Amino acid sequence: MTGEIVAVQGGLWPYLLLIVVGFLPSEIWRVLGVFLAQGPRRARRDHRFRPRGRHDPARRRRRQAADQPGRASGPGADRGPLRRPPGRLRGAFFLLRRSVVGGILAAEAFFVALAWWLAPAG
Amino acid sequence: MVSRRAALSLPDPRSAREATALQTASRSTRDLALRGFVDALSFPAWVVGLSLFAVGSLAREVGFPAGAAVLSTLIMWAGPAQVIFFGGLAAGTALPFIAAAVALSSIRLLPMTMSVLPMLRGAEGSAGRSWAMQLLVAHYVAVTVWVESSRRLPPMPMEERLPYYLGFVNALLLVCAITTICGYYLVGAMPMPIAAGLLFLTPVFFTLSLVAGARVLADWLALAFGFGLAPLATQLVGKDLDLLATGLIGGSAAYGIGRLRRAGP
Repeated sequence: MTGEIVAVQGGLWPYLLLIVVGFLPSEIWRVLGVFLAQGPRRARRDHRFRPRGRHDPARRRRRQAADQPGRASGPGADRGPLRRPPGRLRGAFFLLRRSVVGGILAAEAFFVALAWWLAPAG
Repeated sequence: MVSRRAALSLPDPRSAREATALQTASRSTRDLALRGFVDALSFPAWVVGLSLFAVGSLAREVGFPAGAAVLSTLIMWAGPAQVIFFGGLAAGTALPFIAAAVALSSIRLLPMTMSVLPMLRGAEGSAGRSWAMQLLVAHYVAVTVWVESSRRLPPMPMEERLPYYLGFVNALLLVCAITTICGYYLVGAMPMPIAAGLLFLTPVFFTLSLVAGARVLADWLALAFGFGLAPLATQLVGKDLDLLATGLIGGSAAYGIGRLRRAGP
């Protein structure tokens, strides 16, 4: 029996189908994850994720060190002037890392323009 | 025997203190949940929500009622699995095959759940330790939730994470339920290029968030291996297992190289 036939039968069939064929096969991994995540019985306060962004102590220390007079700052500053990427590339990379919103808008504009261009005429 | 304080109907100072503490705790829990809710509405909810437009339109195309379309977002809560489910029904695929494809596409939820839960469980006896709460937290896990949780939760104190997480995810769910129903009724009204662009919204957001959060060599290598190996894996193992193979090989290699590099001189 195909899904199409079941779906057009109406009533509560779509909901039953959704639960049995859609919900259970995806939810089983989450439930399994709960059991597997128990692991050793200890409070994992220091899990493997490190703080990121402005709360990251390592990043704060690096920024403080970079703010000292006479030192280069920014991405790649610790690699020396010869190995740093060109300014324009660094600028684009910095913008990308700084603004997820800007990146999404640029990428979406690209994809929509591409779809418009590839869409059959008429 | 009635105490003198009770007889004079004066409030017991200890219970008054407890009541004030309880009130403060519940207020701060509410504030944290509200903060999560507002943070989600500030941007991530709209990214996920707009990408679920397509799910609403797919549900309508296969003849599902609007309620089932919204319910699919609330209970499945995984965009690719929903697309496979409704797409499979539209194509007339046999139900066991649709169920298998949905299960395969959702394998990624297992490691995500395993990495999100330790961030929220808290100490013994806390609300995050109960089985019901853990199952609820796990049900809310999705790609965007995992990415945002990895970024936002670690700097927060453990006791503040759970209410923040619940507020954050419920805002995502609310917006996604609304956009699913919008997609259901607006099917056909949207130009095809914009609909196609919306489908790419989640992958683009996911990739940019990973780039923005990448810090160590292993993070960058995992991204590079993912992009490099995915087309190769599609050719070698087929489109059903390509993502799994790419993640397993590329992720393990990135982790191994990162670890070797850290252990080196």
